[in-house]
Amino acid sequence: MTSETWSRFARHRQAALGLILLAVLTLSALLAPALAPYDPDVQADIVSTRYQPPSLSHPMGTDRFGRDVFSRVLYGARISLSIGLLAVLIAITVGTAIGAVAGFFGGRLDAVLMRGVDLLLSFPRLVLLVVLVALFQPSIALVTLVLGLTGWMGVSRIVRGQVLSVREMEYVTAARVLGFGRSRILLRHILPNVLTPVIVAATLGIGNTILAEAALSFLGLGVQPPTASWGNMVASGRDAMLEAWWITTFPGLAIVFTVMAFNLVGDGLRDALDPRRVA
Amino acid sequence: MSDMVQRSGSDVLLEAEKISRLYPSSARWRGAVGGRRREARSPPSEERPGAIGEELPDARASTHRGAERGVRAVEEVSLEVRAGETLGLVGESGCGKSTTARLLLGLEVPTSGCVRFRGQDLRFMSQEELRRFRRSVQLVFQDPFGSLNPRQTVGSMLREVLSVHRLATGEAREKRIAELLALVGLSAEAAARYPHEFSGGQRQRIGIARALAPEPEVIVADEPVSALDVSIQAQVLNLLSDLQDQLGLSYLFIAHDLAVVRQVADRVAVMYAGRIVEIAAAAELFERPLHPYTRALLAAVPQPHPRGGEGSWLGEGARRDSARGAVSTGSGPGCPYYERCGQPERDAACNRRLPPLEEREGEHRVRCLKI
Repeated sequence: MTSETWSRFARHRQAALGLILLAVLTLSALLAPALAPYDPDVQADIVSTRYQPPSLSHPMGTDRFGRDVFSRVLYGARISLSIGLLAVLIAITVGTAIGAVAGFFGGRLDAVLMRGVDLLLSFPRLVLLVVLVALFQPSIALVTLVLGLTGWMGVSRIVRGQVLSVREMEYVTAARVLGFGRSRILLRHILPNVLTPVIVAATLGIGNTILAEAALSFLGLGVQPPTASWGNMVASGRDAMLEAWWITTFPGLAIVFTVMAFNLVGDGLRDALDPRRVA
Repeated sequence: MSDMVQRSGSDVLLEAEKISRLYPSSARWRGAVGGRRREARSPPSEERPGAIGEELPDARASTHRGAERGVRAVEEVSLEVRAGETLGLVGESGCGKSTTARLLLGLEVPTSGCVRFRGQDLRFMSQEELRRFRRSVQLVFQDPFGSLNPRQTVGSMLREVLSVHRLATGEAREKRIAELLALVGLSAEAAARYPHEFSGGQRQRIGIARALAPEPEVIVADEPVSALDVSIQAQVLNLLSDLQDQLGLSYLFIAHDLAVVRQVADRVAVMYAGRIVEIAAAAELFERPLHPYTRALLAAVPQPHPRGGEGSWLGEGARRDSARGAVSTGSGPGCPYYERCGQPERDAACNRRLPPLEEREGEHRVRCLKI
């Protein structure tokens, strides 16, 4: 079963492409200090080094403070990827917990939790993000937390639906007949059989989260300068977009490729994990 | 294990007294024994409107009885599983066999009536007694695929049971797992593998090993062989009867296949539309079926020797009975089998009041006015 899934995934060409992209991204984020030709935050001689177009010494040019865009994109990858991963981790933890409880216990608790989810989903996520971030001093930790806490609703719906169906499986009845407690049944017999779609949702969610982080940073509510994030790099370059296209273009491309990579991998996983689909 | 069972013959282990189960039309999963019980609706009234002598409209799955809407899966069923015996429970699909099993296992709470284990009402059991009940009454499923957790190895399944019930730890536990697997005819290597690596028959053996792990006294087998290939069926039936001899188990054996029940059961109860219509010792029931429904059921069994010996239970009358009319849900005031009954003696009285389950001779009881 697992090896079959893996072979289906491996045969999925777009997924393989996404996986390669992700590997490159992860490596460059991890090795940023070694790969970056310059310090991403240092403003050397602003007057002589700013707004330089891409060249051999500055592959992606320099920004208005004379900082090397390539180095900043590399360091920005660390911020974007780690915010994306952590926020999604928070989202799937909260979403799985709430969805599992709602689906397993049902009744009034389920109704209350799911109407709460509906309520939260009725707000556009960006509005929710802006409001929450604006209440506090923006920081990376806050952005991560807020992104995580606004992204779990979809996961909770998926998990609830899965729990509702798995709950009726005979092996769950077997566990009840064997006298297992409710928490054991939920944690050991239901949840492990529910996680497959959660993994897919999480992979697709990372892309979305990175986009949301970029949007927040672009609006000035996310990662604060001088720390490089792709979102605030795009924002800082937009005044000089016509004269110095490279300042916005490269971090923008980084966002595009990263989100695309996660989506490709997510699609591939979804196809591979669905046994009805013959690739 | 077997020393726990007193084989006195009439020692009742598990019994149901007039249990009924009504599913409201919007029935939802509810907590069962051991959990909180929530009933969204007030309990249904016991009074049963329905004008006497009036022809009833064709009853469909969902019956309407004034304020009471829903399906009565089980109506006032009483039965007992005695130590060391196999009680067969037969009837067509939808007659309430499986619901009866779920009620007896405490998976669902009866709408009325009670279930007792060793004379003790499930409703009034203490935490400790419930734990004891859970250990002592186990279930073997019909579907050998859906009843095993796909994410657990066979070993971890058994290990979990042994540790939850604190039956064995460490070395002793591993030994017990091998012993359980040997008991059902599987090798010890099976412990390391996942359910999907086994065939249907093997999986059913794993299900049986899991049911045996807590050292039960009663096993409810809900159609344990009907999902299996015919050649495998015999093996699993033999296994079950070997286990009964070795461990002194009692079985409630649910099936729709009468040939299977005839092979294993000591006593047989026949259910129709949520009620027991006949109950007798197996030999007695198969030789001299009294209820028209039982006769129809027996007539539906393919016969290896169609013109077989004397006393064959394939009577001409029985032939006529079979497959007449639609399945009734027994919503009328009279005999639930009224509409399908092919007996020449059938008359208006049958449709007027519910025949009681009456003793004929010995322990042969039947629910028919005309017998």
